[in-house]
Amino acid sequence: MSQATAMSSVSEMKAEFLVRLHQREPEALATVVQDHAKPLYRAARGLGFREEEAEDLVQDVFATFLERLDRFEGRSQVRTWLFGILHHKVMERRRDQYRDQQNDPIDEVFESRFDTHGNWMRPPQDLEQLLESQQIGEAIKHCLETLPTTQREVFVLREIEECETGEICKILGISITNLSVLIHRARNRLRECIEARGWRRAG
Amino acid sequence: MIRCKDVAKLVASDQLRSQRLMKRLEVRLHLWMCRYCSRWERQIRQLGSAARNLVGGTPLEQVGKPHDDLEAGVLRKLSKKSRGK
Repeated sequence: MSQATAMSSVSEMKAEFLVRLHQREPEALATVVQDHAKPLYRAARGLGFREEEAEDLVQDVFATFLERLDRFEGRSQVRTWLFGILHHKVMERRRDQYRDQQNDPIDEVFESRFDTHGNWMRPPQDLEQLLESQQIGEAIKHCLETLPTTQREVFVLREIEECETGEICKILGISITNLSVLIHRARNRLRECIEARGWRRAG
Repeated sequence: MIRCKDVAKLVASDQLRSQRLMKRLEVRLHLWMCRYCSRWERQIRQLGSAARNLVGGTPLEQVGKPHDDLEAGVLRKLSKKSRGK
C-alpha cells in the first residue's frame, strides 16, 4: 500500500469514527471512555486531586465532551480535546490560584545561581542519593504541591503524560514561548524544593 | 562560548531540540565538560522519571483507585445523559 493510500484510509477511518461519535453511538463513546478515562484520572491525581475528586472530575470531563460533541470537528485529536476540557475544569476549581504571572519569584532564584558572566555561583547540590532512593516519591509528591496550577499542569502533561510540545500548547491554549517559561519555572521550583528537602535531610 | 546559565535554561525549558545543530553540539560539548551543568541536566531528567514512577509508572490501583469501575461509572452517567437528550 502506498503512503498516500495508507494516509487516506487512516483519515477515512477517523471520519467514520467521527460520524459515529456525532451520532452518539454507544460503542464509539465507549471506545473514547476506555481509551482516555484512565489517563485523565491519572493526570487529575497528578494535579493533586483526591481520589473521589479526580473521579468526579473525569465524569465531568466526559459529560462536557458529550454536550459539546457537535462542536468537535476532528481537527485535533480526541485526547487533546479531552485534556483541554480537563484543563478548563481544573482552572474553574482552582480559581484561587494565580494565572501566569509576568514575574515569578522562582526566576530570581534561578538568576541568583549565576554570576554576571553566567557561571555557576551556587551550583546544584549533589542529590544523587536522594533522587535514586525510595524517598524521592514522597519528596516529589510534597514538592508538586508547591507548584502553581498551570506550572503543575505543564509538568504533568510533559513528564507524566509525555505529550509533545504542540499538543500541550493546544490543550492549555498557550504559545510555545509561554510553555518554555512555564516548564522552566515548574522544574526549577520542583528542583529547589527537592534540594531544600535533601539539604535538610543531610543536615 | 556558551555560558552555564544559558545551558541550564535551555535544558530546563525544553528548548534544546529546537536549536540549530551547531548550538546543540555546543551544548552537548559543554555538558560533557561541565560537571555542574551535567549534574543539572541529569537532575532535571530524574525529576521527570521520578514523577512518572510516582503516578504514571504504577498501576492505577496503587495511585489510589481500589476498584476498576471508573470507565463503567462514566459510561453509566453518559448513557443517562444521552437518553435524557
